[in-house]
Amino acid sequence: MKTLGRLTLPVYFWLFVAYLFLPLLVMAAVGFRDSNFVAFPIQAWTTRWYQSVVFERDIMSSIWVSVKVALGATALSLIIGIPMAFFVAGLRGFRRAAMIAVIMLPAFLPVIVAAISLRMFIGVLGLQTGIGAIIFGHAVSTIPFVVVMILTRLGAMSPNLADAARDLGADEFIVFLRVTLPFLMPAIFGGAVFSMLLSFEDFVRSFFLGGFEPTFPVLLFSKLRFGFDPGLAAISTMVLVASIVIGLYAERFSRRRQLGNSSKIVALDQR
Amino acid sequence: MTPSSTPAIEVRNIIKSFGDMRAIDDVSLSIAPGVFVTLLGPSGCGKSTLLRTMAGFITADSGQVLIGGRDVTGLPPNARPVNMVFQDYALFPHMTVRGNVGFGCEMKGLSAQAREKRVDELLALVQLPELGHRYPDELSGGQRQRVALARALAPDPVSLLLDEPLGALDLKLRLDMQRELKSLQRTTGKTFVFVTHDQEEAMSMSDLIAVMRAGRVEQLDRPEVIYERPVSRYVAGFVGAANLLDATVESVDGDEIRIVSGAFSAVLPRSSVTSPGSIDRGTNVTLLVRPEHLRSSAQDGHTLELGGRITELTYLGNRVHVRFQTDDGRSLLADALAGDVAEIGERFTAHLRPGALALLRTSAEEQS
Repeated sequence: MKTLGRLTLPVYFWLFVAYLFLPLLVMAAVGFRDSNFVAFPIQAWTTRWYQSVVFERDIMSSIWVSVKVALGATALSLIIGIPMAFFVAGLRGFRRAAMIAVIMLPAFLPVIVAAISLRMFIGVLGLQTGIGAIIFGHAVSTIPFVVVMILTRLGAMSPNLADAARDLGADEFIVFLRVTLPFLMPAIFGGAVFSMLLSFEDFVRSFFLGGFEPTFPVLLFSKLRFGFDPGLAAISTMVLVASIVIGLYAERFSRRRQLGNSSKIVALDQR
Repeated sequence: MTPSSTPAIEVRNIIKSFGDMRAIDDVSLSIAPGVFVTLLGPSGCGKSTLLRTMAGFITADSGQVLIGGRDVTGLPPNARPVNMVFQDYALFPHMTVRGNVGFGCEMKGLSAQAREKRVDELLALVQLPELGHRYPDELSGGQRQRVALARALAPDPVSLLLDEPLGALDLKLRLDMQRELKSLQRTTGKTFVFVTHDQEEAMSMSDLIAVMRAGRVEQLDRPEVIYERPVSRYVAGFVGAANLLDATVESVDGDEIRIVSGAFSAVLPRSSVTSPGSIDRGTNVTLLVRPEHLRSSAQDGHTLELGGRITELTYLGNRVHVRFQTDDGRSLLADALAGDVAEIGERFTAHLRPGALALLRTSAEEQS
């Protein structure tokens, strides 16, 4: 019985890992298949799919569109999100809770509903679909995450920190530049990376708000209509690896700067 | 007025309210240069508010703040020549120790070279010369405390304002830091304004103690005077252990005051009276008897006696704290020599010298 209990939990864990990663591994492998069709197992191997992707004009330009959108949406969500976080941080009680609820709303809105409403809104305003519209659409969905991450970090900041800087001769602007902003940097960085990844992987909003230049997910979708080929597997794998690397690095970076600091302080005080 | 007699910090008639609560109620204080003064009181007595008013973080409703003789009442914290040490140290986590210590000098516009030199001096002063490259989260509590001190001293302020800086340290470290803080104050010759609720801390470090209560300074004096001649029952009870006996003045005859407290009566010299206001026949008074005034053996001048049954004994090595109950039902604490005391339940007689006692007027709200 005891042995059973000891085994059950790890088994569950590894089942989950397999469930999560096997499809991805299959996809990555299919990209190496020397054939025009997607199938498994693989008899003949090639790297030509991976190589060819790099030279495919429409894929490269769609990735470039996606990067521009991601950077634009991230910049916009930081520009709007940081002051919003400061505004909410100054509130207390019900007003604060209500504001946070309002800010978080876009994150819980069904994506398809949000996308349709944005598409209609743009039509009503008489604006063009395209990169600009996608950027605005993405920023709406990423701002909540930026605000919450910065708000959390602000909450961990002792009010004495800004007071100490003022006490040592800094005016409000210097306090912000030299103390508050550096203190928030891990959250700003984390929020930025998170926004970029969210924007990059978004399909629904980009699909509804896009113009003639498709973003990368939209292009992939349109290619799928002509059937799978190992090239799709190859490009998907490359994007996946890039996202994982960026995501893990950002997670590690922000965790080291945020949690690392406070947990170490506790440990030292107990000495 | 000669420069040396200009107070380092002076507050005049400071009043500050938060909503209905009057945090500082018309406080005036004048602190001479080079003095270690402690604002002592329980939480909510206004001591931190007063300190923050000096630093400029709080704007008083009325009154003036002068630093080095200059009126700084309307100036923000960054324009006042005082620096603060915070309870949580408030070290900048993204800057090294050197960055932290040099921050004030940087703000003053010192050249990089002068700044580095000053940082070296300060790190040597707080005995952390080799830790300049570390970040605050790589330091122990005591080390962070020293960095906070160095940072506050670096811009060469007129005065250092310390807001319960030892509160976060454990007891042993706190005792060490008390000594270091005192010696740092002597070395630098700076005026230290120190806020604490810990009366032992205040007694061991201060040149002057301002005992605060409900937004007012109840008494400002040297520690030994605060201890031996408190002006009120509140001060007597707050500083040190105290037996406070309710008593009534039976007669006043020239220099002699006869008081009665239950079954106990005594004649005290007029010099025993430490609180302001007149003492007449019938005045309600409090007799302050410190535990060490209750001796287990009589010596010269110990003409008074208080006796009762022992209810509690606390051994402290060569001394014993004896709690005993008098026949009229009062519980008193005496500090006795270990060999002189019997067992719980047995009789104990304490001897007192009338001249050592303090007699306080009991205010209306203190009457029980």
